[in-house]
Amino acid sequence: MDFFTQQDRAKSKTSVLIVYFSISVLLTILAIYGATAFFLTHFSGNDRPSDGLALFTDGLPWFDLELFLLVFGSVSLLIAIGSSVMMFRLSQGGKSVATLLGGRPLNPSTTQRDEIKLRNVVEEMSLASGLPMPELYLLDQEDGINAFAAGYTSSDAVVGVTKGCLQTLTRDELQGVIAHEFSHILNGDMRLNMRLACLTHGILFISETGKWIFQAAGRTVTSGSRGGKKDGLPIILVVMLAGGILTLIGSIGYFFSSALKAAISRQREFLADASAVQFTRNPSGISGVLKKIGGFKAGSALKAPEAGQASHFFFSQGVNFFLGNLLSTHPPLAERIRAIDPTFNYEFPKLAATFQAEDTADTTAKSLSSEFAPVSPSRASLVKPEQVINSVGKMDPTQLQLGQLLRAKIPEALFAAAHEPYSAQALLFAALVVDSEKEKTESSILTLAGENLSLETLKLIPAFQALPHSLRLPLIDLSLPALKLLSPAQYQKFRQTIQTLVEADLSISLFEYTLQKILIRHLDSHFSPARKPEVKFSSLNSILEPTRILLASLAYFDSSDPNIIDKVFKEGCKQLNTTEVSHDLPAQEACGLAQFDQSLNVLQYAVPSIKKNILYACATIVMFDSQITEQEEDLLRAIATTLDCPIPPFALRTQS
Amino acid sequence: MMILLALLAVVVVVVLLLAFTVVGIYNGLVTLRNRYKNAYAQIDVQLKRRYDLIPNLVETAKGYLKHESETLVAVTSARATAFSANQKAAANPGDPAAMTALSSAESGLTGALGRFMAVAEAYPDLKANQNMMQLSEELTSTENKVAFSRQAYNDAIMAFNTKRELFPNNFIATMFNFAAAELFEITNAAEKEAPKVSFT
Repeated sequence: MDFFTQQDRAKSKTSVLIVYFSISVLLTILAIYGATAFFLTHFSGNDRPSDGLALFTDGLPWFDLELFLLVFGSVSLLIAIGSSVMMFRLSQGGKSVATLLGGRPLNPSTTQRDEIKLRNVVEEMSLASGLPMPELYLLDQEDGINAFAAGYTSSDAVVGVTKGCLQTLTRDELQGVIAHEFSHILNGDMRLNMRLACLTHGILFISETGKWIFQAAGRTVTSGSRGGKKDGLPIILVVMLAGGILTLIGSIGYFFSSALKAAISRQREFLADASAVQFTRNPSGISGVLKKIGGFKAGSALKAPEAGQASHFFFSQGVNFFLGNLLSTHPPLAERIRAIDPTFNYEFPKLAATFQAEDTADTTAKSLSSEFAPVSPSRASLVKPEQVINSVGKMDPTQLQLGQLLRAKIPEALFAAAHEPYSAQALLFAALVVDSEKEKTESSILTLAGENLSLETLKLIPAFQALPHSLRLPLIDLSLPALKLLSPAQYQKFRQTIQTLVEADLSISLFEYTLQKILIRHLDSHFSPARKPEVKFSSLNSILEPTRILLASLAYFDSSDPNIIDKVFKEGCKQLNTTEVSHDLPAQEACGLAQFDQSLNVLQYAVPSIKKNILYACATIVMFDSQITEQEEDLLRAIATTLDCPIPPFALRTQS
Repeated sequence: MMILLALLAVVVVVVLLLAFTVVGIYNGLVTLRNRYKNAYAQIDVQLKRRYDLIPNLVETAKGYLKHESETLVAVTSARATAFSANQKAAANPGDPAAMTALSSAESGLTGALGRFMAVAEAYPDLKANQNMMQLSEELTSTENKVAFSRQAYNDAIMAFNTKRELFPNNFIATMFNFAAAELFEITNAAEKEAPKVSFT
């Protein structure tokens, strides 16, 4: 099953979820309606004597439309309020979940050995998968072994690990955990999880309101009796009872929605475990973690008060419920281990409460270097479009190893710069000016960025120049977490400078375009509320025109021979699998960078299966000459980034 | 009975809205507080880097500056003061007392380093020393990073303090003990500049 199918599946899961969820809401409403009716008949005196008697003496169905609508409206309102509260709290995307759980962002320029190890493992995986580097969070208060991934899109994705995880696991095991979390990101699970959190919070809100009414009424009773006033007492007792019943019914509703959440979550966990093994081809990594959790005193338990609501984001069971299996968001440990390692004998090795993994130094990545030949600047490589499509959102051991190699190939100075906000800016400036004339560059940077920053930039230029072209964009992906540390004012200035540099020479190169696209995509959403993925187009027919423009622009880029352009364009159109699209080549004037950009911005709102067709058609055009140059790879990367389909650096792959 | 119910519903809705506003403001304040604390972490990394560089610098210069031990001692002690001031500030970023102490300790250290560099100017051999050149280059770069992350931190502090003082946020801030946070400023204008070194 490929990336696009997974994404579509996660989406249809959401629809199924909403159906089940609506059913449980409806049942809750009916229960509350019943309770209200009961109340009205027993406490309202003579208001509705006949109706009440009909219900409770004759056992006949008793239905009052007005009352039902009232209950329906107010309960729906409560659920809507509860859900929107959670939506509001999660509006910053993944990092809101991390903050909710008491996470601390890991400083990219950290000097702690454990933290460096974690950062390196994640960076390798990010290079290997083409997924932009997620922000890392540490749960310092948590001694258990656990981790989570959260966010709406790959731009706001965060990966968090507990202190216990960092201290107890070896590098291989950590890699297993991170691979598991990456597969949640790639399978679209985390988006589903965000929605689950909002919906269940809506139902939880009913019982919270009930509890609150109960307590408020209770307080009035105590203060009232102290004051000696007894007049309003019966009515307050009734309100108290009503609050209590609301709590009870709300709790039952919450129980069912939690069971639903847990059932969905359990399924996804097996899948993520399997993907993690597939990514790393190292079953001992992930099964080692699970065994450690089983033998560790703190296990995978979480202390944060909000952990219950976020339990389905985690790597392993974080909260134990009263009714064990039904509400468990994760399958039992032994079952998960058996799925990976059938020889497991159900005996967990006992670990001391303060166990410390021996291998804390980070050596693996470095020992792999030097087998990897640097790429000459303009070399093109052979890739088939199928390879590109199949590699989207996928990882395998070769790729992971390649990620490690790539990481080892990037000079230390550039890495250090990518990890620190001040010099990360310089790194991006260097990326933009590296290929232009020297004197012009120096003066323009100096006026734009100021003396200190321009010195920093000039220092980085030689190292950047020596970097193989195909490593440039991946390196920029790695510098995103550091750039997220800028203050909003600093970011505005930085963005302005980038914009000016891009437009400085009056022509925008593809590399510049792609770089800007990546920055806007991943950083703008950080400095304003997270962009939730919207789907506006579920059929290709409504977006035929932008698709045509996109393909034609690519065709014009590919060649200057009119015959070839036309042929390539028609070939691309064929891959769209639709008869609706006109195979007439649009005029060249209609296919500039501006129009290309416009079309791409429309196409990002298509459903994954359409994106797959479009990306495939793009790859077909780009690789028509069965070659892919570095410029073409940049272009594909820009398209894939905008469509939110991470593609690994595949050109390098075929060479290694 | 219906009227009573409707009244109750109105009361519930009003109280809920009120509760949401409070929760919203409270969460907003927590977010901003986290933000400046995280911004301090970035300063902390760079300051520590600086504190690590200084002993090496002094060690390298020792052999050349035999008659300037006073300057060297001044740098070493200013570093020690700043080091402990940073430890206190890092434990509780934004705390007015800790931040003021750090500001003055850092001003002192910057001043001492400036004097040290001025003295070093007079020793051509020291100026030509490869190690010294590299160290002072790295020091300047670190100073720039400190200044930059200090700016980010101060931006975050300003955002927090402004939000905290606005009405009605100020009531909630007092209720939940959100104390005003202190900027990190290098006070003395003359010492604000990073020590300029030219070993060319």
